[in-house]
Amino acid sequence: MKLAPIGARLLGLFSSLGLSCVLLCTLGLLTWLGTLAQVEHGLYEVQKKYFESLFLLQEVGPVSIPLPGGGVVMGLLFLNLIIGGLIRMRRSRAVAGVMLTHVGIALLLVAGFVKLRYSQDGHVTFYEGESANHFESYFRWELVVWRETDDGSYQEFLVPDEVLRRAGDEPVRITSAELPFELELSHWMGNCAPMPKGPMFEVDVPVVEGVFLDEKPRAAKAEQNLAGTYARVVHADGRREETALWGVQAQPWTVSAAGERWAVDLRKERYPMPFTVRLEDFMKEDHPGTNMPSWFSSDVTVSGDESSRPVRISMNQPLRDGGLVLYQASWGPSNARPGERLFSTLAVVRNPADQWPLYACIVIALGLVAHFAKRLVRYVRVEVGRA
Amino acid sequence: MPKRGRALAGCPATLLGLAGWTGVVGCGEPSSSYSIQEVRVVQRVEEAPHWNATLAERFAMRVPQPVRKLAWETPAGWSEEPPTNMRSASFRVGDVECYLTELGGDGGGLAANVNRWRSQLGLELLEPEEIGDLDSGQFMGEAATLVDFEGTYSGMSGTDPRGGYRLVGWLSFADQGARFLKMTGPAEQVAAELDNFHALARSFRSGAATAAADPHAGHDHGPGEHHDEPVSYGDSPSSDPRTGLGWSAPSGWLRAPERSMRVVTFHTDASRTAECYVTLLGGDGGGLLDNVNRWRGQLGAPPLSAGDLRELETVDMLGVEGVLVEATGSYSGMSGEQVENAGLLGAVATLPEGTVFVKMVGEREAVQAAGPAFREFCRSLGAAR
Repeated sequence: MKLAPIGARLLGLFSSLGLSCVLLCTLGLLTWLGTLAQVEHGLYEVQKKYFESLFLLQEVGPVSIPLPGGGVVMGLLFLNLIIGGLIRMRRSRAVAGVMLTHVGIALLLVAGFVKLRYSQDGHVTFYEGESANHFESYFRWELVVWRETDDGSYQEFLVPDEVLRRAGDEPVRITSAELPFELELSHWMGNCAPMPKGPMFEVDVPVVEGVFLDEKPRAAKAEQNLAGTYARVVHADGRREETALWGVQAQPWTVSAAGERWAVDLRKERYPMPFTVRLEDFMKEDHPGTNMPSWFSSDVTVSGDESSRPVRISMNQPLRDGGLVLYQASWGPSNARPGERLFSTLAVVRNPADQWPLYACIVIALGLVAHFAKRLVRYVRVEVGRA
Repeated sequence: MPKRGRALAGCPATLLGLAGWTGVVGCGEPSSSYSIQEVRVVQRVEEAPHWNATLAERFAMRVPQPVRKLAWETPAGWSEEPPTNMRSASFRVGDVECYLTELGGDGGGLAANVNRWRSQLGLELLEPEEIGDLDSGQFMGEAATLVDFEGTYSGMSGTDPRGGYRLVGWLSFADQGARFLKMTGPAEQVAAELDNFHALARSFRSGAATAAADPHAGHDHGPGEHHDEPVSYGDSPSSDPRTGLGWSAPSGWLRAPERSMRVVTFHTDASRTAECYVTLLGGDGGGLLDNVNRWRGQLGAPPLSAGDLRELETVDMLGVEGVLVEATGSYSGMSGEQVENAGLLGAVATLPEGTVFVKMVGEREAVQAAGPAFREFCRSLGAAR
């Protein structure tokens, strides 16, 4: 079938080696800029800005230069690989290895995309004797409105991180048919601390019970940011209650409505686990004469619906269960004195593409081996023929 | 145009042409309303949260309350003495001393305070049931306990015991804090002033003990610690074996009894209008900027930015440049004390081993007068000799 000129041009563009070169060079540039930016902004912010974005503005002195983000570049690279390396490439045994390599690279890109869109990363941090049936994000926040139900469980209404970030001077209105009130969120702050409002200064945010949220610059390590926001409950009769919520508040805000107690809390995003983990024993050994641990591990009990089993999670021995991987990540407090109670932190990852990079690398390796082996054989044959 | 040239020229168009990718990677349209999409029913395995927590409880901070004026009627013949950090009102008549102390929280509780007073008179400690049998009544609108003891009075220091002394006092404990009205003196003189004492107690109005401001933990005073007594001024060793810190106290400074979390505490003069103390915390102690602003917040002064921090005066201490912080205003301290016209001078030195805080706070004039001595004290800090 003869393609229309515009279609042919597009196909030529997407399959061109020139586009590959431009994209790879752009990716190299983003990596370089991201590495430099990481000095000031930390890994999380840099990943968001340079590699998970569509476009970005790179500040060079007083000038802002628009650049394509990693999302656009890698998306185009994927198309370029598929169209140029698989669809339009002349299919023959001579290029079978190259095509296989392209499949591997495409799989690597798909694995990255699946991880970006569908994975959940977080941690469980607990002391001995404590249990957890969820893990918490390092970076993402959520607002939860909850009530205790008759059977002792908790019904939680969740507002995700993306919605919270929209709350500025103009409030975001949160509604649900099951809630007896509306919620208005305003003045979202990615990093803040509550401060007493003294008589000698004014602030441009609400003051609640003598306290206001003092916005702070974002921490270089994003997990150290403590978010905050102002929340207002608007009851059905028009009555309003207002407060400030802080990401590390010790207790939730309590509201009474429709004869029930409701709690409103701001916390790191939680992901349920299909089992409960209880920390039985945390062990660590230090290098002689130092506080540097040479080895540490957590003995946990993993309880499901019907059974429970003891598991030891150490630095190189993660627990894989229910689509989750639990790694021994760290412990604390870092300045604990000998004999002081320690907590254990398990990093938890739910990633459907967990093993895909490994498979992709195997495919790429096979493709390259096949291609170069073929070239080698041909070279040897030529040389033998000459001899 | 050559084929390759055409392909490259099309790259920008390609970037724009793939706008559809936007929807895949994400970046939704901002909206001013949101209907909750996710509702979960969960079983909690962690400790259940507390209902009805106040904002101060939620943020684990103490929120300063407006300073409320005390009012009273001084009995005829009694003279008023200036209030201090620990004495909201103070009186003297002959050898008899009487003063009111207000503390945040329960101030250690009834039993601990009754027995502390008895120990000052050299009396045996009372059992809980005996304390329950003490006289009771109303003091400043709250249920209160009345005590009346005689013995050999030696105060907190245990020195200079004075025989034939009598102690009469009201103790009340309420949600807003603890209050102690205490009269001590020679037994005959106290007996002569009893009616005046009770008239004074009845005349006190308002002046609820105020909560103190301290948004960060780490400086709490231990239970049973009280500051309504003359401090014990003994020899002042110039080092602390627990921390290895050494110092040289300025002339005229008086060392106060040990307090939890503090390396050492001084009063800058005998009237105790300003105190200076050293604290040592691990790591960065919560961060320089946060600590500076916490101190300023205790006086109602506006927080500083990171840029402001760089402009602050510094002092050479412990081999590094310590940052000096100054503030004036109404002070809400950590144990309930309130000073309306207060000054604060602080220094923070961040070391590899931890962070050293030196804080002087008290009446503004006293703090300003002690400024040079404070800087000298900071410079004197070093390893224990």
